Amino acid sequence: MIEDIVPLDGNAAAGRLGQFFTFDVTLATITCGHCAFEGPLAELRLYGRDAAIVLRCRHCDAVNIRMLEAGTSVNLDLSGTARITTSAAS
Amino acid sequence: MNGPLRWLLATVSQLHEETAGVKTISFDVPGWRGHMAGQHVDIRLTAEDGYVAQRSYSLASPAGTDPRIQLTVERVDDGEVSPFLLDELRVGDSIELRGPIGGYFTWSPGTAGPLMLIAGGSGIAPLMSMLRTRALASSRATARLLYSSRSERHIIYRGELDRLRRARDGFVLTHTLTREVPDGWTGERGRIGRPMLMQRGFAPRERPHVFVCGPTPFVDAIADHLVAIGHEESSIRTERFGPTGESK
Repeated sequence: MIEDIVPLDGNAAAGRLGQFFTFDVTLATITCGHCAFEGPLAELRLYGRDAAIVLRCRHCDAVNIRMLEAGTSVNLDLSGTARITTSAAS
Repeated sequence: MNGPLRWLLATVSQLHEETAGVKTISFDVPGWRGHMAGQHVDIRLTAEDGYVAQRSYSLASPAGTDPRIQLTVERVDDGEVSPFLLDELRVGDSIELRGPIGGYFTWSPGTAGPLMLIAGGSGIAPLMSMLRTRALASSRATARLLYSSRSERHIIYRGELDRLRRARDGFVLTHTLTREVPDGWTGERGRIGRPMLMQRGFAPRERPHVFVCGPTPFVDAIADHLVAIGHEESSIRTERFGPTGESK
């Protein structure tokens, strides 16, 4: 399923995540649910390309976001995320 | 942003071979809402059996509202999308794309401070959008590009970069070649390391806006070097693209 070992980053996941969020996710700050590291969502490490993607913390490598697109349904799992913060300007 | 992005039908208007394995594809995209330099699009290909492959590609054309956009695509040999885009797509064909995406890896001509660009291979594409945008806006922001290619024949946009350099408007271009260096080569040679970044880039005290784009190992190495020589982590914006099968 996840054939690529070399990760991309949160920039490449922004189009998909845009299905859930009205703000620009790349400008949001995400706090890891595991180590509490806080940084730009654009800097998360992206694994997977097609139906399933995983975004991992760049500090501790824990899974922060999982997303599964199957047919017409899209499933977003944020159980690894403590917090997502966006400012009104973005 | 004006509401959620929809998939748009993009029609190929022009195909241009940049180097072996790299093409610039021009699309007409009715409904395009305009973009900033550095943004990208998602492309979605759907097979007859319903299998969907989706990839992100940087916009290479300058910022603005022109519905004619350009992507520069490099072949990933075992890829599912780039071989189709490079080998099968013809002028007049249509594909689905959505964008523009991402405000993180973007630059506008009004931004104060120098612009420091570092590209590996086809990672030049979004940085070229920034340089084109800068030139069109007659921006006086000083800009430096450090561009790593495997060999001379792998340099994308070479002629246009030379023209931008000759404009003498504050843009300084440095090429480095990592594999084959021809006789008489006057640029840098070898991978981009700390000495090259210090000599050819802006100093941290000049507070440059730094954009790094290339394959993941390239970007990770450069980002580490930049922090090690004193650049603020928050001044460095990075964008990684898929494996090229070899590190640069």
